[in-house]
Amino acid sequence: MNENPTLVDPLATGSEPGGGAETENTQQSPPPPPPFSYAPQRPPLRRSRTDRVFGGVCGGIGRQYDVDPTLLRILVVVITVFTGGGFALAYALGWIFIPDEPALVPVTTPSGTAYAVPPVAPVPASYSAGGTGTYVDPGTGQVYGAPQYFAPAKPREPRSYLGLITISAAVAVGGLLSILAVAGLDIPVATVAAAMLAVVAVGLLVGAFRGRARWLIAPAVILLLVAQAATVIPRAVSGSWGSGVGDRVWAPTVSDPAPYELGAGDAKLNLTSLPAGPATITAKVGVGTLVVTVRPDTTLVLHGRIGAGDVKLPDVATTSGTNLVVDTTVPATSTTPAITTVDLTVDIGLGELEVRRATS
Amino acid sequence: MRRHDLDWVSLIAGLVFLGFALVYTVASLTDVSIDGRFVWPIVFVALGAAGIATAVAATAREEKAFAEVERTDDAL
Repeated sequence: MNENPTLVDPLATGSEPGGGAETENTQQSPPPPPPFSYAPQRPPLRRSRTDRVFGGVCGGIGRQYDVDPTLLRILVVVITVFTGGGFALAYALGWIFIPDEPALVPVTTPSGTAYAVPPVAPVPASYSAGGTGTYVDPGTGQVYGAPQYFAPAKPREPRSYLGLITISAAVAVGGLLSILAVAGLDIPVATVAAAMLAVVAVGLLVGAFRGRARWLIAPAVILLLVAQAATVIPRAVSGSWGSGVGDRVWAPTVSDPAPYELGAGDAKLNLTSLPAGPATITAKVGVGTLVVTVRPDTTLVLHGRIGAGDVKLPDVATTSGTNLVVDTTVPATSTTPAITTVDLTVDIGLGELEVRRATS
Repeated sequence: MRRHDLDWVSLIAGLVFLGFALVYTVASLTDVSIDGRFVWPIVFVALGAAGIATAVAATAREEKAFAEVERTDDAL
């Protein structure tokens, strides 16, 4: 999983700077006394090999933060159920992105069998076992903690600035395009987001070959969401942003009223006061809800689209999604006083369309 | 920067995001419309495939490393 197995990482019990160098010392002469401290040093987050059910994610996180992994597993199951399986994706990402801890091999030490990261430095023969897991240097009488076994130290890689460069470039591109948009060029928000996404994607591609910047996937996901939302909403909303914000009640009394428009808010379209005979109505809501109330003797012929949201029609299950196309008829449930056909065209950018039958 | 092994996760994620960036750039500047329902499934399939590729490569590498360790053990 981990591209560069972190061989310099010590066992899960702790870490000391320069640990790799210490290994070489133990092979020749007793090491300098390690700084004595009771404060446990936190190892890097790794998926556990010893406490593992599905990939060791909970085992590793539990060990890292001193939480019972079983409790975490129960939490994962509960959250997964409550999110309709969605949280399983987060778990899978943990599986992918948290590196595995190095495989351990058994080593014979004066106090018994220990497990260490391969390849293992031999325990200095001059050491004798002290208390549990401690060793006494015969020369100085100095007591050491249990020796840490390390793989040979690899030269530390220079820190990669690829991610920082990429994000900075994306921000600069976004800013530049926004300036051009403010200056009067026709650059939609979706274009700005898509251009920034392209920069981040190029950063990821460069990172695939040199450097590592997998975390750029996170900003890429956010930018893709923004690009998607900005593409869906303005298309339906265009022309209606200037139509005001707030709540509206529209109750036409003529059969061919001017189109109703609302930029953002909740609109109620009450069609119970329409005169007898066919009517044609258009209603547009940028972001919000549109509740249409019809008389029982009205047959509603409905056309239109919802960029993203819900459609609730009487006697029909709610439909949710993006780019919903509505092309349906809500039949009259009563023939008295007279069946009237209303042709309604709706356009909602983001929100909900609900059709209700008036009770009388 | 030092050379690294190819990172499949970054490579596939980069290609997919670059593809969507181009598609959304075109869509936002023209009348071309995108069926947004396909976007996230494609992202998930790509990231899943990248994860599997990484896992398979890592398994092969670790098995090789473990075999070497066992040889070292036998020699001791």
